[in-house]
Amino acid sequence: MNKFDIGLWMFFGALLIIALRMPVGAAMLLCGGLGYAAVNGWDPMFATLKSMTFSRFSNYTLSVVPLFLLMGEFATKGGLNSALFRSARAWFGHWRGGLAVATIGGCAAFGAICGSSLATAATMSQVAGPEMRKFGYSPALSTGTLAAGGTLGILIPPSVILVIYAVYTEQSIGALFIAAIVPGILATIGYMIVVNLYVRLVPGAAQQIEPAPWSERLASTRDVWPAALVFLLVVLGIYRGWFSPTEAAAVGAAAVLVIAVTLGGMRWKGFYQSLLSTAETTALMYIVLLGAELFSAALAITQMPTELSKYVATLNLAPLAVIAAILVIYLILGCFMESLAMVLLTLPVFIPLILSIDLGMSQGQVLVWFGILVLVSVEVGMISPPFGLNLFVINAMAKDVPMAETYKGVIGFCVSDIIRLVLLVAFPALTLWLPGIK
Amino acid sequence: MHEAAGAVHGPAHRALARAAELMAALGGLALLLVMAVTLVSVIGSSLFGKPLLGDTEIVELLIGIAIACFMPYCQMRGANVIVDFFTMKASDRAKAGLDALMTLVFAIIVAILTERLIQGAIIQYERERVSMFLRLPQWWGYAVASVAALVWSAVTFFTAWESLRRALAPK
Repeated sequence: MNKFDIGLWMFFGALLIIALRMPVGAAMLLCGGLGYAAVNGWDPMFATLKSMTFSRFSNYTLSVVPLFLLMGEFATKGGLNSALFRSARAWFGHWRGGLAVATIGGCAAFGAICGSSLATAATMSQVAGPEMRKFGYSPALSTGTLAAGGTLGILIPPSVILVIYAVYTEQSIGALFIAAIVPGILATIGYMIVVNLYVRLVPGAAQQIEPAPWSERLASTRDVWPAALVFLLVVLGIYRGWFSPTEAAAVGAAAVLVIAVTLGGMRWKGFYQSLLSTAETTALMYIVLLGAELFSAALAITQMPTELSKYVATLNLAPLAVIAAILVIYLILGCFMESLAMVLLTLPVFIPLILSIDLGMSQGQVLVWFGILVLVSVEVGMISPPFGLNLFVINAMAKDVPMAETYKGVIGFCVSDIIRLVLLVAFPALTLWLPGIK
Repeated sequence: MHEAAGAVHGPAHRALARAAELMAALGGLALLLVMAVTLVSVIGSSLFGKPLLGDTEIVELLIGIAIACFMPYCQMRGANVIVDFFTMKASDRAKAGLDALMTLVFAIIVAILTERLIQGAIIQYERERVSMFLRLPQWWGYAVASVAALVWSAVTFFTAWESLRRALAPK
């Protein structure tokens, strides 16, 4: 068997055992280890393992990930979600479909201090879900809005997926965060438009509510500024070089802890639960990261990815056709695979591929732009019926809503996602202008 | 995600669950220390122009320990990332059987990683490797991580056994 075939076997073998319920990280460790041994021999493989585990766990740059997860947990357990939703409600509540608009706004704001999509969807549905039901919002609209709003958690920086993408492709975390801001705002506005259209097209989907008095709007905004300050401190701090990303995440986590204890009334129990939840989420990510380390090293020595890019180059495809093909693969995979696992499994193959095609941009620009495209398509996968993960999370929380209703409610948001993805592909400047990457 | 619901909580389960939670709490403490050390360094450099010397070395040591300590808890909670799309129509028994097989393979991998980690710790100790600024012995992190990995291995074998029992249990 030549090296190229070993690479192919590794890749498809991993997909096969993942489909048969092997934990994703374990599948990558197994296929990575076997592939590595097949090319370089067993002894070098076992020698690598002696230091691999601890050096991956103790990587300084990656320590941003658990710190951001901790920050998100403090925000959740400290009740920042309800403060953000209350404020968004006071401002937008009287609009057409106002509570759904406020939910989107609250999700966007919560996404600015939390880097995970599932967490954003789950926490916001605790506060916004009952409220929408109380005012007669249709189950389809309310669950669809929550599922879509949750994806703003990973799109709006800080974003855990972007941190890992940045580490993997050796790009600046700050530049990627700033690059995600315009697409994040586009997503928020797009979702708000979808809510408005939905309420116009489906009569009786939402009740009108009275505008909140100005005193209430201003009062509710007072509870929000600490979160806004943390966001600015973290994202601008990284970008302007005031802090390293790890420092910014540590400052952010400490600041949210203070807010959660003083304003949110978090006590020992909530604090301890935050630590345990962080432990669980961090560990499941690091198992995949550990698997990806061995898997991508092994794939690289089989040279399958570079051979594949050479082959694709001989096909003389239009560069945009290659990008489109990759994004379609992500959209399909995203329907049934967890985002981080999917990204780490495919990057070792796709990154050499996209760097080998001529897009008329510098390498740095291509990698940042592609990172945002990957992020957006992953995010679409999380809400696209029938298997989007966010749909299941939201549906599990709103037990009386049939899944079919949630599907109906989320379609509009998926369409807006696809339109945004096409826009981002067609106009790289939307992504690259704000960070000003050369 | 495999459900532990309906499982009989025997003494082995209780002891492992307690050990896993204890490790997770220790890891959480290490993560809080990472936060504190980094804060002190940031405050030091912005207010007094003096960052904490070698703060990144302390962070690396502590974060490595924290992550290793998180592993058993994640496994005990059955929180691993798995794809259940292709097996959705299978019976519960078939799913439990697959889980038992796959978790057993995973447990063997974890056991190999643990053995390698311990070998790594021995090498770090014998060669007296230390960090650049603070001269922190590198084997400290490896040693604590090895203990966590031993618990991780035990928990992973245990969860494989639990799945097997569910697969073989009479209806």
